[in-house]
Amino acid sequence: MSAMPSPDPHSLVTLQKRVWFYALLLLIFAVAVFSLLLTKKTAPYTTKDAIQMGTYMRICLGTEKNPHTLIDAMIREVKRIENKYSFHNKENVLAEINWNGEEWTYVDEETQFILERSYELALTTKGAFDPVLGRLTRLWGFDRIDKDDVAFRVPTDEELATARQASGYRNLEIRGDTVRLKNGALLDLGGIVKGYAIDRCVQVARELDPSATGYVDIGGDIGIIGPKFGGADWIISVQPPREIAGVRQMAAVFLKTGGIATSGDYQRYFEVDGKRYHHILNGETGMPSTGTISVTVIAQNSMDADALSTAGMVLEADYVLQILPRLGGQALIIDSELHKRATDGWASFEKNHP
Amino acid sequence: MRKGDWLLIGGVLLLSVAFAYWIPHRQAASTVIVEVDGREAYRYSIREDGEYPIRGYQPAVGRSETTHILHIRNGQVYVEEARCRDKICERMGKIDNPGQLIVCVPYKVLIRLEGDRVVDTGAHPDAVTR
Repeated sequence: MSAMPSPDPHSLVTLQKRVWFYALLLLIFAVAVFSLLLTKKTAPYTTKDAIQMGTYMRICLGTEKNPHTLIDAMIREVKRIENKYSFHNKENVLAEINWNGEEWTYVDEETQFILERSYELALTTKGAFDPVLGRLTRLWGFDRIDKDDVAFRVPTDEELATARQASGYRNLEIRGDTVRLKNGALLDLGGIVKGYAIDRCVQVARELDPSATGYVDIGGDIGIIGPKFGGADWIISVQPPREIAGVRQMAAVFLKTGGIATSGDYQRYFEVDGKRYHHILNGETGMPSTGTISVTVIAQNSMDADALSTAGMVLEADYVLQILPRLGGQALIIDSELHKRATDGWASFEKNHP
Repeated sequence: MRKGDWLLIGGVLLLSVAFAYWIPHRQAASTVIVEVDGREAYRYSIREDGEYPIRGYQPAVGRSETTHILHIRNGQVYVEEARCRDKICERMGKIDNPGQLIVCVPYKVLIRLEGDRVVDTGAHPDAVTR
């Protein structure tokens, strides 16, 4: 029987080296995997997409409460507002006022608030924003959402003249909690109620969770609930109104609060003989507005941003740049040559961006 | 250290380099999700080019007719041949980043992209005003 061979001291050293080496490798691997897991963001924001108010709606919400409870409440609020103020609904408060002849209609506080603000904005924009163009919108057919491909058509001069006579905010009278329309005019709050719905969503979110952050986007009009991660800006890009190769945005703005809205001629429109007829109507002519093809407005709230962006399409660009800041808005205007012009205060929202 | 050790080390290094190369070259959005009336109705990979008929919400005809054609080409998604008169879904253009969407209101169709990366476009907006 031979004795157990004594281990070769040289191979022992090699073994030890290898053990150390593999231990180190394992450690590096563990650290790498761990840091990957740690840096993988546990999404602090819940987003929800839906179809509401005749367009898309996106809610992006950060809350320590159950986000779905808040999101459901916000969507319910939008549905309520849509039902109450939709131009189509034959049984809502809008229809009641519209089809009450010249009789006075009692309205609740909410309706009074929306109508008074609409009237004020119509006055200050000299009717460029006008909540009483229902007859014209109907004549052009921009109020309908049709499934079938029924052709749009340009109204005749007589039709336009008749509809114009029964249009305009001066046909709206508000006396406390009663309102009435004259000359057969019709209220159409399409230019402001989306903004109002966004503002209400923001309020609902804040009521349910005062520390909620995020934003509400209804058809490209956006209201901020609170800054990103509690302190950072939300980056909002402005859509180019025409396809420009390689250009994905006309500007990027940084917002922590308030609202931003865009009106343009590039989504709701039709073409006849190569001419474009879009949905923002000039109350004076009864025709789609001309000159400007896109207006983006930043304001304290989405309701003002919504109405002022509509007004900005109708008014002369020079005049918009002059009066918007006085009405509490900053604007970016794009004309048919795709040239940009902005109010003096706009640049401060475009921090270090090309 | 034996020859086998060096081979192993070399293999691990090669693998990690390949992995590092693969991650940033994955396509930004990976899945195209089509919702009809609030429910997921179709799901496609953005990597497979194709033209897919979409049946929008048609309670009267029981969702039997094609209302749009969804195009997936080179990682971009867009809609053509919308049956409605507004054509707003067509005008929403081509989308390629997670978070972007195309919507058809009359037929209650919502097309969105999912994925964990964003194509580097020089700008990473949280939202788009339009």
